[in-house]
Amino acid sequence: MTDYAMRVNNVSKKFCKRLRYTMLYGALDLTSTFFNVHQNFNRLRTGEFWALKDIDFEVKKGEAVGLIGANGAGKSTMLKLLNGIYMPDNGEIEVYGRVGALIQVGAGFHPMLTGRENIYVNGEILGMKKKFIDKHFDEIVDFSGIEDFIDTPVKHYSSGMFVRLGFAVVAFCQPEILLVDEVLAVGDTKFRRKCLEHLSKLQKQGVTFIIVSHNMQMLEGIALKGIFFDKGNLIHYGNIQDAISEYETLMLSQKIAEEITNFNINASSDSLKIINKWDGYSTDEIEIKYIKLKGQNNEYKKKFCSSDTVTIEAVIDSEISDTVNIRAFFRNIENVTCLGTDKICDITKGRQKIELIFNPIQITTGRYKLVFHIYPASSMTTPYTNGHYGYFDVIKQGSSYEPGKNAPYCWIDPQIKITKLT
Amino acid sequence: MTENSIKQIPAHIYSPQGVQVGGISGRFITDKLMLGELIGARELIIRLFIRDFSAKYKQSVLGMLWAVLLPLITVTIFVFINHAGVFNTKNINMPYPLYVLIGTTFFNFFNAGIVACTNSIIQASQMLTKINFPKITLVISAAMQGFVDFAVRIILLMIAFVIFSYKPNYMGLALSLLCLIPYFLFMLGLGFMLALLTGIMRDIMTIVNFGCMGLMMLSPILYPIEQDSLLGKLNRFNPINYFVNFPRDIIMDGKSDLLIGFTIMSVSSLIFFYICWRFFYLAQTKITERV
Repeated sequence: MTDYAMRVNNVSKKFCKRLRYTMLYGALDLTSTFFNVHQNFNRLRTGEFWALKDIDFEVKKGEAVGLIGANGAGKSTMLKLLNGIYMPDNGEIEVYGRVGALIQVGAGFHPMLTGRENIYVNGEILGMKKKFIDKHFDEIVDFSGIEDFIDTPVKHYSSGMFVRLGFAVVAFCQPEILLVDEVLAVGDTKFRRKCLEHLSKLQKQGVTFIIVSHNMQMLEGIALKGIFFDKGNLIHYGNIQDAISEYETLMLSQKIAEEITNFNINASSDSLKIINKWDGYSTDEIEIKYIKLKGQNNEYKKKFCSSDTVTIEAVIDSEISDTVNIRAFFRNIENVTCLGTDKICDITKGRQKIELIFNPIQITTGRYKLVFHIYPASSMTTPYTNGHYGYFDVIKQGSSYEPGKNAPYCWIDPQIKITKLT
Repeated sequence: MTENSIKQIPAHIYSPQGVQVGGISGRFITDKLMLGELIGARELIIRLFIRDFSAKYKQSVLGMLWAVLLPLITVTIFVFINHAGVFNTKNINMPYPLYVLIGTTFFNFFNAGIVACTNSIIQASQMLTKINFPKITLVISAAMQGFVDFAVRIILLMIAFVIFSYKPNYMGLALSLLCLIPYFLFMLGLGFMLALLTGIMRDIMTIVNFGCMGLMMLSPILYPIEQDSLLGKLNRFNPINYFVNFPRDIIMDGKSDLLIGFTIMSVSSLIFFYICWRFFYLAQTKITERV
């Protein structure tokens, strides 16, 4: 026997955008099948598009592979191809072993039938034998935790109960390869934990996993390998962290409508733009010339990793000398403050450079803006300057952590440095 | 979990040509796969059949009683129409209600089955795109729905025989049940085709519903049709004519003029069924993404 669980060789799959063409091509394909005419499926007809194009990968037995990508990237189509629900239009998929699929739990449930009846129907649709279900019936009911409603028609079930029963049936189908499509997003925390525990139990038994999810934390916990799809193409196949960061890079590179700014201070492309500034809120006795972000090697950039040292460099012109409170917050695109600090320090009259050094920056993947205010240390009512600056991107990326120095998700107070400029 | 119930599964290879299963090769490869699929699916067929049956009459006041009421109503209607002298029923040598009852019993077997088959694939469309299971189970279990009504009606028929103190040919009655085999295969074959086509075009559902009604009226099922008329000539090529009238003749007289026609139709049904089954097997993978 091979030690492969699945091999996908040069697989492509196309779909039809319009119903009209779906009917036409459906009829044509059926006719050509009937008369045993082999047609070349590997070309597009009018109205068709490639859902997956030239996909190649192999999965060894016992591996756990995460499929990631934006909506519509082809992940679910890939799962359905691996499950044999769709046939590829080109290439070949070899599958070694019994495949169990959690593509949608409760898919075969009949609303009029009771939970008990549906366990049997669904179980047999999933390929179990009646004897086997008889034997494990109590375990299945127990796993689902809905003993009291087992003789109620499933149409009266709450959505949570429905999903729990569905998962419980699938959980017992003893697959050698398990395909999971974003089904763990449902159910309450307790049941979700039960499911995850069950999955890791299966994993220990040597079951091969292929998982589609948008929950990167969960994927990282289960999968070692990752496949990143974009618009039907396989972009990356390798370890899961790399696949995730590729995915996140792509997600961030997409244009988010940036707020239009009327205040264009320093036009240098390195500096952050002012997104928002409230006139009259601050006294403007301190003027910000520019704010730039610096990476590890003091290079200016707007894209960082979570583990990078990031320095906020703000050059200001001050009309006053005072002890001030510098407040800097990072807000994500949903306007949630993720991280912030305030630092008391002395500002002198004239031009100077303030550097706030975050080592490391810590915040997780996302697009952020910087809220930067300077208040007099004595009173927090009227700032000397105010403004939102942005945007910059952070990608959570695997890198070596040094315990105690840049421990993950542990708040480390930034350092502040003020240099007088002449 | 018990490990002993896990059987080694042969390699499956999915390609544009369909599924290949490791270890199955040589001539008649498709036939071997078809047969393997059918044998593997027998438990599921029964299960789906029970599911559809038990779901059918749920949340219904009269429940199974409908299976008795509907044929009785049909018979009553046609007895009234006959009473008005619409049909020429002089040549029938059995009470007309019995004639109608046998006719509807045999025709309904086809009608109920074919309608269920036609809808079977699209009714399960949710499931089709989520779970990989043999699709023939849907069509076969749907086709079997015809048997339930048939059984109810046969019991009804027995009671009617007693009420009208009519003595059927018992040998013929037993043989007429055997006639269901080619009839079922014919219906199932047609069902395979219609189920696939409905998957692509919903029009087929309407056509089948309407077509069955037309077929019932144009075939000599509830009333005899003059042999020499145009309709009578056309009915020589109508399989339903043979599948309904041959069993009815042998229940009445123990013999039938339609024997040769029935034999030819039965053999053709067998071939027809095989072709449709094979086609269904090969085409089922192309249908899922379009349902």
